[in-house]
Amino acid sequence: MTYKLKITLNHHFKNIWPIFIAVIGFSLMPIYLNYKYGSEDLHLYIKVCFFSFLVFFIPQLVIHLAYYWANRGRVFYYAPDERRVKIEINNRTYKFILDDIEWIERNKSFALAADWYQWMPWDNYNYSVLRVKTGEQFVITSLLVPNMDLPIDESKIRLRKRFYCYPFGVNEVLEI
Amino acid sequence: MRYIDPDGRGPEEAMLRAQLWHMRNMTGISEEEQDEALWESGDTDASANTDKNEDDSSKKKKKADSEGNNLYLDEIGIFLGSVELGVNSWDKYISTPSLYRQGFRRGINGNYLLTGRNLSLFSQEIMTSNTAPITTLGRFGKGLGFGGTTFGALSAIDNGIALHKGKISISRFGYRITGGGVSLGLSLMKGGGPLGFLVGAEVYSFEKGYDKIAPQVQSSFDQFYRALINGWLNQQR
Repeated sequence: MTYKLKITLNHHFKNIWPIFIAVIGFSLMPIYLNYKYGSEDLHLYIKVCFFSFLVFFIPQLVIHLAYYWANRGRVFYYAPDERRVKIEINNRTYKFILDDIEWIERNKSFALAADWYQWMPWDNYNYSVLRVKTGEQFVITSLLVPNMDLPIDESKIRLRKRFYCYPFGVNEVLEI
Repeated sequence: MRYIDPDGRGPEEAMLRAQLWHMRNMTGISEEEQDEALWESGDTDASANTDKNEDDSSKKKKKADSEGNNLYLDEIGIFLGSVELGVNSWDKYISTPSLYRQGFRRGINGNYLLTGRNLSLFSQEIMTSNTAPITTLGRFGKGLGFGGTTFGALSAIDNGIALHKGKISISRFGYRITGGGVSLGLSLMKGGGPLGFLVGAEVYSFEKGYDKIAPQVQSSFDQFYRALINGWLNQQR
């Protein structure tokens, strides 16, 4: 069996869904405030709720777009039985087996790494830097592969716990 | 002498009379002059008392508002936190290990079931965060976590509006915001979720407890203070 993964609506939703809790909460809040304190300051309530919503929404939008642009148009194939991986990037194909992986750097939020509470809407986002022995280096985001936990030797896995998993300063090496 | 106390300010008036009696003894003024002084003093004190009463009633109103304020948001937040703690604990210690024992492992796109040779080879391996299967309960629990953060933010907005409207005092606002901030900060520190929830619940309980206990302590202190002053005045006779 071979998994074929690309950025789909389902993957978008798997990453972005917590923000809908904020959408519901901050949309209903002006109604609550209006009921509680009267309608004379309704515009103030709407403004405060809108800008508070942006505090959560903007970082999530930024990370979502960064992940999308990083992995747009790519296809990730994985055959667990053969331990084989194939990545298609801009009509080029990179093939390797799991034993060819030199290391994987997994970048996860504290919540995701500890498998515990998710406090921020962007806690679902994670990305991996995958380096193969031939020197190529790939960035695989959770929009492409939701959970990049490949069955390789634990010593090859580096875990970085982050508050905000934006791929700052990460470079891919596609040409050797 | 029949004592009429229509407005319930007996002890204050008694103190006033005692002060005048003391003043008369010291200065030797007549009873008429004393009555005149009493009226003048009473008027002055009455206006002062009116201000004081207005302050008191404003304080009481603010306090009543603050007790009523945020009632539902705080309690929903505490409820969500409790459910979240229960769901996450259940998932972490019961559901996920159970699924793991059945042979389910976390794959790159959801769980997969170990079969055949893989089952005999890997079924006894210790569960790690990379191999622990994902459960629906776990996803639900994680979602509740962000629900708690959202409620915290909504509660902060509510408190800000209440302060803007003069419904709560700046000290109460500061207490709530600081408590919420510490709770969220602890939650974010290396996934220390339960600690953040517990601190948030403590902050909430302490405020509610303070609202119940403080008036009684204040009332007891006022009685003690009045008794002390009366005792001192009696000593001066």
